[in-house]
Amino acid sequence: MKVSTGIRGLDKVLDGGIPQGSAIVLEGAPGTGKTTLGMQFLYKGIVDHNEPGIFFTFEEFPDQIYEDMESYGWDLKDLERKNRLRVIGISPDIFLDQMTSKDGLFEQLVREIDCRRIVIDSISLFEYLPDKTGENGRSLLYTLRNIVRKFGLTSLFIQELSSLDRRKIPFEHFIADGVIRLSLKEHMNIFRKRTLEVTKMRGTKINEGEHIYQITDKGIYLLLASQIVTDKYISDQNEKIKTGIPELDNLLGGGMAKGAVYMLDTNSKANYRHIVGAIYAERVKAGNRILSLLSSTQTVTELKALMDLYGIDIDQLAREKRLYFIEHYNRPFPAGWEGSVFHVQGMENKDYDRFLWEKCKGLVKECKENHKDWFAYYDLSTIFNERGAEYVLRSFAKETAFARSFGMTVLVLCNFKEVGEQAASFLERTSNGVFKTWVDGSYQYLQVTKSPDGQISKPYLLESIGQKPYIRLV
Amino acid sequence: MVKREHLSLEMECLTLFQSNPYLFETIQGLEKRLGRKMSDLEPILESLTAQGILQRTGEGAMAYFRYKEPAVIAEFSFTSELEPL
Repeated sequence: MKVSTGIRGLDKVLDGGIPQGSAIVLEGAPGTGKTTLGMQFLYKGIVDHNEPGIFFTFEEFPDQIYEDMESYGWDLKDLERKNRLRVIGISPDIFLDQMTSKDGLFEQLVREIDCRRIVIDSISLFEYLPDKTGENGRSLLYTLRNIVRKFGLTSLFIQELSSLDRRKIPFEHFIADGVIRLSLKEHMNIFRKRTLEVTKMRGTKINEGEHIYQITDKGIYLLLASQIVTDKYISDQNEKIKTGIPELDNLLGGGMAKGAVYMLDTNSKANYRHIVGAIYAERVKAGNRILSLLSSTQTVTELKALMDLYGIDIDQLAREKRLYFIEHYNRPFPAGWEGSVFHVQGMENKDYDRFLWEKCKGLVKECKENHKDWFAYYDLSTIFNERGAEYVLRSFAKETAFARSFGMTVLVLCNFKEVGEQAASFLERTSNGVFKTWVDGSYQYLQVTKSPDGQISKPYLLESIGQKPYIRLV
Repeated sequence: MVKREHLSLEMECLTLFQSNPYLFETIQGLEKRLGRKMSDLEPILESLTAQGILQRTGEGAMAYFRYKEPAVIAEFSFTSELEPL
């Protein structure tokens, strides 16, 4: 069972919260907001989850904490009067003595308010006690962790951290169930940014990386890394379509947004075949009408072989007019596909524009009226090669706008390096989502660098597997 | 210590414990928190304990003091105590 930290962003980082009964080290330099985070954990635990808590402070006066926390609108004295909270001012030596005493102060306080959460501010002071350094200090923290576990308390042990300490891993990290680190870092030379990182947490998945937080008038607010501003008009439609790659669907919050335009940016070494294959096959299975613009290197025979792997018979689909092709290269197509292939080789850009508008868009409109959804797969490098960069820059935004207006989901294949920085920047801006795949050394990676609901991901390794969809994100 | 100084130190101790009702502190700890000498604090703490304002728990160096919240009479009916005219 998970215990909410009282900070929504941190709960997301911890996949729901801290495992109940855990002892967590919360470390950071002075001014990073450790006391505020600790008190927010207790205050929200009481107010939102009816879990009483105790805050032990060794150096600070409790009345200073009452006053400081008032600035966040937290009336700690009122919670004390209601026997839901205690802010205990105590010396570390008395605390340790009473903690191990049978029916000592620690036990009495825990029982008195039916305490579920505690914060100790700070365990750094233990090392200044006589005979509590080295092995004794380690044993002391081990005892402390066992006592709070015995009472089933979810605990935050605050630890001061100076930059000098970073050279070695403190023994507290080995004993604790989790470690949360707060840092203050230089940002754009003149600013400072606060970051939070969970470096260890037993019993839960963690969202890795440094997440920016702010100390607001309502306490600590954490903004998850790998998140950018949402395309609200698309994400609010809340209709997700599967990609056929379960890990990619998870990264996208369930799948691609219906009616959005996604760019697959691939470098020359990367094999994008199974990424496209899995998405394409999944859309066919979902009953979408498909419009494909194949590249000079990808023939229909090759596409047929790829789809065979996914159990899709494109021959039948073409005959049933569920699959359409725009062909720039006058290559042979199987018999019976005549009505499904639009030959545009040698067509002037002006005529090609007219063809898109009259033929393709007419077809999409007609199907849409019959409640058929469309998926388009589009090799943009072909358009760059055959119609020029100027044409792409002029027409791409218009075409994507049309696709969106008809709820057509589009996957566009492109190599950003090949098309140049300016065009890549334009294409990235025009697309609602971007997947990037590349080869580095002996490994291929995939990363979501833009999505309509603001989620971006870390780079994942692509592993080949023996069964559908033949790739896995690791 | 003259009586006036004694009173002033008593007020300091009292204010500290009243403002921090969950302060549990040894005499050494109070010396640091108040910035006063232990020898001056000892008689004050003894006196406040004797008056029932503070509670002392434990012995020796580990003995600690805490504030004893005064009992509050929530309801008191004056009229029932008065003799009828």
